[in-house]
Amino acid sequence: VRAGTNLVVVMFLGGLWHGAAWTFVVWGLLHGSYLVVERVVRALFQHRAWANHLATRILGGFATYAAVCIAWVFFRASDFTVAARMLGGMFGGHPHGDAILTTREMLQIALVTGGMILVHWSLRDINIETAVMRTPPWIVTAAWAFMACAIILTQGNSNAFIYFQF
Amino acid sequence: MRSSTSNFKRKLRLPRLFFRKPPEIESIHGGPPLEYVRPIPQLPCRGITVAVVLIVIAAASAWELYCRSIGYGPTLHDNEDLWTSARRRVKPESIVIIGDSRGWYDLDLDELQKGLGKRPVQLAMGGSCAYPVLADLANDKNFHGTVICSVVPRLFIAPPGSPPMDHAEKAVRRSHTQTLAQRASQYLDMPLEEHVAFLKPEELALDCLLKRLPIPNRPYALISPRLPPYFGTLDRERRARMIEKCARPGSELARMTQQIWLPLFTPPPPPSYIPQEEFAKSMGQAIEQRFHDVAAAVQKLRSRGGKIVFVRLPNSGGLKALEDRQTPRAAVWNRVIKDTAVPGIYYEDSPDLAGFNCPEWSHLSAGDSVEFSKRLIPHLRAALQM
Repeated sequence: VRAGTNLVVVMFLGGLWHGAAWTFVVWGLLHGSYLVVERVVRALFQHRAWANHLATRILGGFATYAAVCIAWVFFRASDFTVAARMLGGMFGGHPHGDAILTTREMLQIALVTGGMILVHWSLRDINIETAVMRTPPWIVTAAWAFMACAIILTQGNSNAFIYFQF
Repeated sequence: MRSSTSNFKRKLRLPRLFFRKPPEIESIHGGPPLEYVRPIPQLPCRGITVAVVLIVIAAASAWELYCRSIGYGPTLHDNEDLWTSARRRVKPESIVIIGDSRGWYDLDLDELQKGLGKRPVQLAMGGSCAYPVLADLANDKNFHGTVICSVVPRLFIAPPGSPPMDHAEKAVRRSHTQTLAQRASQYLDMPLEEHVAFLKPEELALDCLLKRLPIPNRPYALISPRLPPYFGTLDRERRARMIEKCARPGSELARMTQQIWLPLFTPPPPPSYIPQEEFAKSMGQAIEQRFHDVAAAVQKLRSRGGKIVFVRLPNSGGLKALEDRQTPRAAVWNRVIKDTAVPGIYYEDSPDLAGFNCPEWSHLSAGDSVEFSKRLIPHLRAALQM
């Protein structure tokens, strides 16, 4: 109970740290409650055979991803009205809403998200250092060069970083 | 009895509590040990680093050469920090140019300096509304200089929250809140932008390149109109000059840019989540409010001895026809002049200003901007009673 309370309090403060708005508080509390739920579920079921089955793990991963996506709505929304509208949209509430994303943008988001999930999944039981150590040097070189070129090509403005927007 | 020295030693040792080696029980009983040594991958790091640096230099050089070969050149990027550096140069009695990109491209600072006796500060911004900058100058108690305000009606009456307003408001906000890091970043950025052609965040950045992929869109997708391509350069004074490739009459770049202005100057469809009548009513109220706010800002500026003149700068071809149809002179220009009682110079009213042709329909070429500014000076002097 104490660990759970501490988790919620820490995430609540973490939310407030991001900005003095109730949306950030909700974001923090949601994350805190997710961590508590994870601990409870782990304590209850971790020794069951089905809990360590691949299908369960995949399902758990997607459930976590969906829950975190819901929390991020409160992080980025300017107020609860906007958050409610976005959540409504996420659950099919605006079937005839404006088509504000182009097909290219949707494909791009799907590819990047899929890629990130794959990377996270592949690093689930291994750390990045070990993964790099097992990779041939020429692949590491190509990956670094590709990433450096992508950074140059992106020409990002440093102000795009979210923490400069508070 | 403990001595003060032992106390001191004890205090010195205190931090070691936080970095102490984990006892055996902590290392083997669940959870990671308190001290974690990050494994360093055994790779030929020096060789990899040299190879990566060489590959990146080669790739960046090839990309730079390619961009130059298709007509791009180095220029400063007009962002809030560059605008802020110009805003900082405004003195109490300065002559200041505000408004849109026509004020940028069509007014030559050298000629205006010769004709008006002072070098104007260029605060006009591409695709922006003049009002936020006018209000900022009106609220600046130190400023009692002269304002030359370019008026493109569609941008001048752009409602709050629209891109032309956002653009200007962001710049004004930055001028009041710029941090040392942002200022330093701008000074570091400028020499790079002045020498590297591929630094075009609105055209050659990765996301802009991905936008060009020929992927068909779903029906009814709301796609933002394309922004004009690179057709001018900007210097540290924010002087804009049209490049020769665009200034050539009938050039491919000029023709392409002409066709980009048309959708950009066409208002987007009303949003689906508000009834159309309600939306039209709110737009009407926003425009009325703009006329009122502009008059109030002008009044404030004049009460301190400041002067202002509104200028309608040349446009041509299909864009002129579109602007005349959508924002007729009587609807916006005449109303602004009437409400503010400010002198206005409409280029079509004077034969010496009316004969210019904009190669891409919206701006004068660098050469014509010099001649136009020369001819504009007597009109400005008369309007401002100089």
